[in-house]
Amino acid sequence: MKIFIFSWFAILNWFSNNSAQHNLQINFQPVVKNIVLQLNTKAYFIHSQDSIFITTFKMYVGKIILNDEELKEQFVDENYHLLNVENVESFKIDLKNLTLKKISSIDFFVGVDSIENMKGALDGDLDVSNAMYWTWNSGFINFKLEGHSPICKSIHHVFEFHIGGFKHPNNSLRKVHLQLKTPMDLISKNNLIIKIDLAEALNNIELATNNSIVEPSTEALKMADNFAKMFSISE
Amino acid sequence: MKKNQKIVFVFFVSTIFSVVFFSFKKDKIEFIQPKGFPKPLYDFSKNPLTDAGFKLGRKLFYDPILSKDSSTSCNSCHLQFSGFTHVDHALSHGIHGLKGNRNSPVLVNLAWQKFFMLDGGVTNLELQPLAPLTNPVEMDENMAHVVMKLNRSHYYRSHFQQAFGDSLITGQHVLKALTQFLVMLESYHSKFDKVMNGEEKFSVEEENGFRFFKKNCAACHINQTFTDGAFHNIGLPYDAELKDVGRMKITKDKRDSLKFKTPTLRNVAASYPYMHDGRFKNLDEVIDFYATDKSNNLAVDKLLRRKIIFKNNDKKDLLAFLKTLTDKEFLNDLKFRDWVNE
Ligand code: HEC
Ligand code: HEC
Repeated sequence: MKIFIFSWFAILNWFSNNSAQHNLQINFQPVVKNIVLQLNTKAYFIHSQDSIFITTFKMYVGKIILNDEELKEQFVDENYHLLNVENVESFKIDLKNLTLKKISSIDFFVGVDSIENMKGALDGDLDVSNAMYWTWNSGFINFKLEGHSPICKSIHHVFEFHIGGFKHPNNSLRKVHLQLKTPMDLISKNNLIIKIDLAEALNNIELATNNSIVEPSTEALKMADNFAKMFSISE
Repeated sequence: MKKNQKIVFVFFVSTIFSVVFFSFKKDKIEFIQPKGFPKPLYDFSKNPLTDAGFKLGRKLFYDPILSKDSSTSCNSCHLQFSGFTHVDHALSHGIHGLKGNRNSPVLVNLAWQKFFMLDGGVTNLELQPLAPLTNPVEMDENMAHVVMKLNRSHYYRSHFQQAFGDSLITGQHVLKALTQFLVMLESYHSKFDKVMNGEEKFSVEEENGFRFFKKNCAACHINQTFTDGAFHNIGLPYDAELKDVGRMKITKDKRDSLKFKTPTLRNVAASYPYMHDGRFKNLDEVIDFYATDKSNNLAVDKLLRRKIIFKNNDKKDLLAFLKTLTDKEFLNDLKFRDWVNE
């Protein structure tokens, strides 16, 4: 009898879980100190009076995990997504058929993990023709930020930050954990906005002299350590 | 025979015939696991070899469309008759006649290799072709542009369709096709192999050379692949102009300074000049270098930090042995030629 009731519940449970599937769209919004990012034309001011122009911003986000901490349930998206300012749609990530009802926190990687790095030629967002790959020292570029500023003592005052590297001791993959102030109810809401503040990435970087990082290095790790601070949820 | 039986018979025979015919046609390309070789490291399951894929890779290998100004193909620096290296060029030449800073290596038995490039910067064969493709002194291209050019070609679209079931060409499929050609570059029909398989015999000189080799060289040039796939400093003086620090360029670890990947010695007699920068013109110079005293050079690999003693005819015999690694079947194999109209 007990078994009977139990299986009855199991079936009911299965049904209710299956019938209640939700979708979530995560909307990443690149900003510089709360001002929406615009390529080339707009000047931003970070920690000095000097203006900064941004010409390229691309970044990998992957392995998104949504948590319902109360019920200890998770949704895991194994994919990697290339965010590229030149393609607005790339900032919207659709997660489909979630069985979670609520989310209280979210985890993801900035960058591509070592397993993908070792796999060989990949497709889609990880296709090498996206120009997010180093060819002479194999590996994905996790984060690419380029631009110019009069403060840079470089040719044409440019800066270029290509942050990547997956091998010890220069592993630049970073995990981000974002806690929602109040758990979000997926039944009534299916859109989450996450801001990416690029000023945070440049926070402790002396642009005058440190304006080119283009290989796995300790300099790259220093910037990678800033990544987690770039993200915040707009609630 | 009754009419009915006849029809059934004809049907039966033609079915068998076409099954045999088509399976031949499809699977002509086959990767061979030669006797005595270790297991290959390349993961074939993610890129199953097909006739169409191999031929497409071969076509790409010989096509200068992969370079920015359509002047340079992979074959410009990797020629079959020399074991797919740039014979007679110390530093390989690329686009606009620009010189690279390394000697192009032979492309032989790549399926067994763990690291690519002389400093091991590339860790998966599929991604190796990208390095020359994007190098400003080699082909000076980028994959997005190559993919765009290929997608404009009716020929390529239909051949990618055949090979990968998709006529929209992607970077992934370009690399997978090239890799299908590269892994097929197997060399295992040299005199050395025939001796090992009991089909032929070494001469007295070769036999003595082999003995000498096993004693002094085989620690690094090991197995049937003639490489341990690792990095060593063998004591070549640093070239202050080229400034090539080898493995350290990748690892940034001082202990890796001036270490280079052990090259295979298969087809070595055909692949002059030698070493990462092509500093030695012939094998005599290489052997003379190995004969110099390195016992006081603390940077040199322990295995070579000594004076290797060459007696009587040892040098000549060692050379005779190295020549048994030449595989004429491989160097002349029509399968690897540039077939323009396929
Ligand atoms: C301009 C000359 C040049 C061209 C063109 C060229 N290569 Fe190379 N190749 C080299 C050199 C030099 C190296 C060694 C590079 C290094 O270690 O830095 C090399 C290394 C390689 C290796 C690694 C071999 C090993 O043992 O590590 C492979 C595989 C290879 N090339 C394939 C190709 C393919 C495929 C193409 C065409 C897409 C190509 N090459 C075009 C010069 C060239
Ligand atoms: C400690 C490991 C080691 C030992 C022992 C060793 N080699 Fe090498 N060998 C290497 C490495 C590493 C290179 C590549 C060096 C470079 O490119 O700078 C090389 C390069 C060569 C080359 C040039 C191949 C080419 O294509 O450029 C030849 C030939 C050669 N070795 C033969 C020998 C012989 C013969 C012996 C024994 C007398 C020997 N090696 C012992 C590691 C070794």
